[in-house]
Order: sequence, then structure tokens, then C-alpha cells
Amino acid sequence: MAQLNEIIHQPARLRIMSVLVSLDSDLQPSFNYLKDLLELTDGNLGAHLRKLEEAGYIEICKTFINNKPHTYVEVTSPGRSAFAEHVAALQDILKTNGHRTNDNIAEV
Amino acid sequence: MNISPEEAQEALAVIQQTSDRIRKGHGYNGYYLMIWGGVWFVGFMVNQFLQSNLAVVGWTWGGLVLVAFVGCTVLGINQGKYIRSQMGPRTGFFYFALIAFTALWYILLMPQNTKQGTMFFISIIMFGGVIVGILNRTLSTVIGSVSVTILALAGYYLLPAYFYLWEAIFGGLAMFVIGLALRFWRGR
Repeated sequence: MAQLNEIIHQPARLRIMSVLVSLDSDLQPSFNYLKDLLELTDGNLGAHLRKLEEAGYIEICKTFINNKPHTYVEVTSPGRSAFAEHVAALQDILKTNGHRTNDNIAEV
Repeated sequence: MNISPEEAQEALAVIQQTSDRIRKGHGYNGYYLMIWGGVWFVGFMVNQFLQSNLAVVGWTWGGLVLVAFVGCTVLGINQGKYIRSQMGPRTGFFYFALIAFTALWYILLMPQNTKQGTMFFISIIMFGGVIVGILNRTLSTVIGSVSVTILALAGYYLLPAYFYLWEAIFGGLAMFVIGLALRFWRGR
């Protein structure tokens, strides 16, 4: 049976991971894109990204464009697997309690 | 870690909403289709109605393709500030090389007339679309490229007198409308 993931389950990190796994695998959203999309502050987003990076679920790439620093985020393969397992665990909880689930989420 | 079914349902709803938002909002490809759809529409209209003046047709196409390449490059750089694509620049270089080689093959093979030459260009560019679709794993690009080729062949063989007009409408205008749909009807 799939296990819930405490690191991913935190609401902001759940949304960050949802964004990352929803994008095509060759796409890396920028820090500012994530900040605007998820309506988080710089500090808040930075802290959550560090946590996910420490767990090995994401990679943070820093680069310069026109002499300005840009930060991009990419989900790793273990990150994708951990997220898929977390979603499966959430669906298991609903199934065992007789709720209807949207199985499409498993394909995210 | 234990959570209630209500919490689980709430978390799944958050995931669903976020991924829906991403899929709807990520419609940048629509702009590229709109640019190239516009180029095809204007270019083939000029082909249809000014086909006796080859110089005008040639310069129009040259100018349009140049503007489209500059537009796509600016768009790609702008898009890169928000979402960086590893395949994006490679796709751009691939098309640039494909068009350059197609021009070379055109000179070497010398098609019998401009219609045959146009069909030659369309089929190779759409072949490029199929390759990019396979490499990017985007079925819609493969289906779209095959559909444009089939429609172009239909116009080429069934309505040769109106082939360019046919291409302007079923190639250019169709690409433009699909791009518009991708960007705005599904957009953020």
C-alpha cells in the first residue's frame, strides 16, 4: 500500500510539486513564475524549495540572463515517484473509506 | 502519518486544481502557431493573387519568414524568463537547419513548377513537425502535421487552380485559429 509523504503533504509544497509534475519533463519554471502562480513570498517559496531540494525531490538551477540572476526549478525522478506515491496514498484513503476518487490525478 | 478522508480529498482537489491551472495556462505554443499561421495565410494569398509576379512572391515570402523567425526568437527568449525549455532552442535550430536544407534540395532538384515546389516545402516542413512531435512526445503536433500534409495534398491534386488559396485557408488560417484557441480559449 502506498505511503503518505510528510514532506510533500505540506500545502505549499503539495502545490509546488503539483506544478512541477504537471509540466512537460523538459520544462523548468522560474522562481518568479512559481512565486506569482502560487502567491507565495520570496522567503516562503525559498524555504519550501530548500526543503524539497534537501529531500532530493527537486533540483534548483541558477543561471544568468542578460547579467541578471535567474533561478529555475526542476522535479527529479525520485521527486516524481514520491509525488505519485503520495497521490496514490491519498486515493487509497478515499477508496478504503468509500469515497469517489478522480483517477486522472494518478497520471499527473 | 495519518490524515482523515476529508483531508485526503482536500489535498487531491488542490493537486487537481493546480495541474488544471498549469495545463490551461501553459499555452505559449499558441503564439508560435499564430505567427506561422499568419505567415502562411499572407504568403499563400500573395501566391494565389500575384503568382504572375514571381519577384513580389519571392520577396514577400523571404520577408515573412525572416519576421517569423525573429518573432519566434523574441518569444522564446521572453518565455524563457518564466519557463525554461530544454527542447525549445533545439527545436528552433532544427527548423532553421531543415529550412536551409530544404532550400538547398529545392535548388538541386528544381521542381517542375512553383506549385510542386510549394508542395515540396510544405511536405518537408510538416515532416519536421512529425519528427519534433515524436521527440517531444506531443501527439497533437504529429496529428496536426499529418493533417496539414493530407489537406495540402488534397488541394494540390483536386484543386490545382486554387491550391494557394486552399493552403492560405486550410493551412495558414487553420493554424492561426488553432493557435488562438490554444493561447486564449484555454488560456489563463
